[in-house]
Amino acid sequence: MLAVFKKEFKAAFTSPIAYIFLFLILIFSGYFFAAATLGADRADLSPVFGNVLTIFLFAVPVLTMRIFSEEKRQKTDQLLLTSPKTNTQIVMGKFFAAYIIYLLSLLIFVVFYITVCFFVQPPLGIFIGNMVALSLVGAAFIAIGIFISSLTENQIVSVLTTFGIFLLLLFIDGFKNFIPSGSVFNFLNYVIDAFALYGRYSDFTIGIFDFSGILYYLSVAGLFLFLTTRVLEKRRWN
Amino acid sequence: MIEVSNLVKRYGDKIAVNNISFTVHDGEVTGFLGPNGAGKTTTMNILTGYISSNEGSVKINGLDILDEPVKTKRLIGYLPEHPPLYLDMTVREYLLFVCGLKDYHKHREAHIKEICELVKITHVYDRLIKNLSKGYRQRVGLAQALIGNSEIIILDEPTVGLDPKEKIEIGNLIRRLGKNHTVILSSHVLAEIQAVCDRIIVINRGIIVANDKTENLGEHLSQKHSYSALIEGPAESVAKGIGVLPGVVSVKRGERAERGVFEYTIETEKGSDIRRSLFQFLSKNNYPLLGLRSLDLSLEEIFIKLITEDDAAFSEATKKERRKKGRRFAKSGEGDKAGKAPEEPEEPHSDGAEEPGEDKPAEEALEDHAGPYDSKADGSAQADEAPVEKADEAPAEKEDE
Repeated sequence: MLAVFKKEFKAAFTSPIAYIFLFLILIFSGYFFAAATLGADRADLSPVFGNVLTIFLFAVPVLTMRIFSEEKRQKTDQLLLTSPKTNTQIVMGKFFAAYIIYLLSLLIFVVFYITVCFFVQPPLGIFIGNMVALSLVGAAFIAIGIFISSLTENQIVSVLTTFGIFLLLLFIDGFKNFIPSGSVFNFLNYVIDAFALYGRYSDFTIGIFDFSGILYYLSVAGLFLFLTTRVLEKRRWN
Repeated sequence: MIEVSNLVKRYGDKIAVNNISFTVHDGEVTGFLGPNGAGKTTTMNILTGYISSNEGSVKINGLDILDEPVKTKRLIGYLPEHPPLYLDMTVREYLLFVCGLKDYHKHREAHIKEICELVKITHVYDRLIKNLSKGYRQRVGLAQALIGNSEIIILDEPTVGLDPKEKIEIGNLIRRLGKNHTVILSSHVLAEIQAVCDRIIVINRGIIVANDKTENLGEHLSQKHSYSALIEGPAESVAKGIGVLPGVVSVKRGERAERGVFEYTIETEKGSDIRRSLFQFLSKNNYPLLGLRSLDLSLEEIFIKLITEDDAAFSEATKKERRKKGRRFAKSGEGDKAGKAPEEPEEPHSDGAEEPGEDKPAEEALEDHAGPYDSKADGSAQADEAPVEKADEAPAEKEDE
C-alpha cells in the first residue's frame, strides 16, 4: 500500500493536478475569508466553512479524475494488478494519496483561524468540529471520485461525471420541498436523506457536532472504496 | 513449475483460449508461438493473474493462482505486451516503485543498478521515461519484469520495437536468465524463439498445435536436409557430378542467377553432411561455388505448415457446419430463396456471422508471412531479397552454435 501511496502522491505533484487543486482551494477560500469574515468585520468563520464545500465540489473531481482512468489508458494497471498487492491495498494506497493532498488544503483554514485570533478568540470547539466534518466529507467525496475514475479510461468523462454527481448531491436536498408532507411519497424523504452529503454538513457549520453524520460520511467513503475494489476485480472476469 | 490445465477464456461468443493445457518445468525457457490473435497474450495474462479464465486452472509451484493470488504473483515477473510504464517518472523512480510493489526492500539501489546493466539502460537511468525511444521503453519494461529476482519470468513479445542488434542482446540475456529462472516468452518472430527457447508451444486460434522441444519440432517435420548452392559452370556436368556424391538424394537445377551461374537445390539423406565433399568436387573441377545455404525447414516454415494445416482443418469443419445449418435453414421453408440460404444461414444469429470475417484476416496474415520464405525455397527468382534475409538470419544462426 505504501508503494502505491508514495507513487500516487508524487505523481500528483509531478503533474499539474495537485497544484491546480490547491490553487482552486486557496484562491476561493481566501476570497470567502476576505469577503465574508475580514471584509464584514466578523470574527466568525462559519460563512467560510459554509461556502467552502462548493469549492470542493469542482476541485475534488480534478483531484480524482486520473487516479484509475490514467492507469487504464496507459495500461499501467497491468503492472499493479499483476503485482503481489491486493486490490484493497491498491485502492487504499491511491485513496490516501488523494486524501492527504485534500487534508493539506484544509491547513489554510488553520491559517484563517489564527488570523482571526489576533483580533478575537472564536470558539475553538466549533472550529475543530468544522475541520473534522470537512475532512470526513472530503473522504466521502474522494471515494466517490475514485470510484467513478475506475469506471472509465477517459479523464474528461471521469471529471465531468464526478462533477455532475456532486452537483446533483448539492441540489438533492432541495427536492424535499416538492414532496407534500404526509403524502404517500413521504418515504422519498428518507431516500433523499440517504444522499444528503451537503445537508448533514451544514449542521456542523452552525456548531452541531452530529455523530450520525460522521458515521454517515465514513460509510459512504467505505462503500465507494469497496465498490472500486469490486470494479477492479470485475475487470479481471470479463 | 507451471501447470496449466484445460484453460478456457471466452469474450462473449468468441473463444480466445480453447482448452489449453501444458506444463513448464523449472529452468526451462519456453516460447509461445502463434500468429496475431492466437491467444498468446490472453494465456499470459491468465498466467499472471491479470485476467481470469472461464474454466481450467493454473498452478504455480503447486499453488493455484486463484486461491493464492498474492503468493503466486510474488513468484512472477511479467512484461506485458505494452510495457506498463509511468511516463512521468524517471527510469530510476519507476524501478524503485516496482521494487516497492514487489516488496523488495534490501539494497534496492544496487539491485536496480545491476538490472540496468543487464538490459543496458544505465545511461538513461535519470531520464524521464516519456523521453525514451520505443526500444528503450521496451527495455525498461523488461527491467521491471526482472526486479525482485522472481523465479518465473513471463515476457510478452519482449523484442518488439528493438533493432536487430538489440534483439540479439535481449536474446542472449533471456538465455542467461534461463539458467536460473523459468522463462516463458511469446513472439511471432520465430528466429528469436528458435535461438532462445528449449521448448516451443505453437498456438493457433486458442488451441495448442504443437508442443515440443525446439530441436524435435524441426526433426519431426523434415525428413530430409536440403541445400541451395550457387555454382558457376556448365549446368549438366555440375548437376551430374553432385548427383553422385555420397549422401545426395537428388539435385535440381534452378533458374539462372547470373551469366553461367545456376542455382541448384541439393537434397541429402538425413544425417549426412555433404558440404566438404561438395567443396572438393567443385574445386577439383574448378567450378566456383558462389553461395551455399541450408534449406532446412526453418521454424518459420514449420510454423506456417502447422498453422495452415490447422486453419485448413478448421475451415473445413466450419464449412461443413455451415452447410448443415444452411440445409436446415432451407428446409424450414424460406421457399424461393433456398438457393441462397447456404451462404447466409447465420444472418439471424448476429454473432455467428462474424466467423467468416474472422477467418480471412488470419489467412491473409499467413500469406504475408509466407511470402518471403517461399521465395527462399524457389531460389533465385527474387535474388535481391536474399541478402536481406541472410543479414537477418545470420546472427541468429551464429548464436545457435
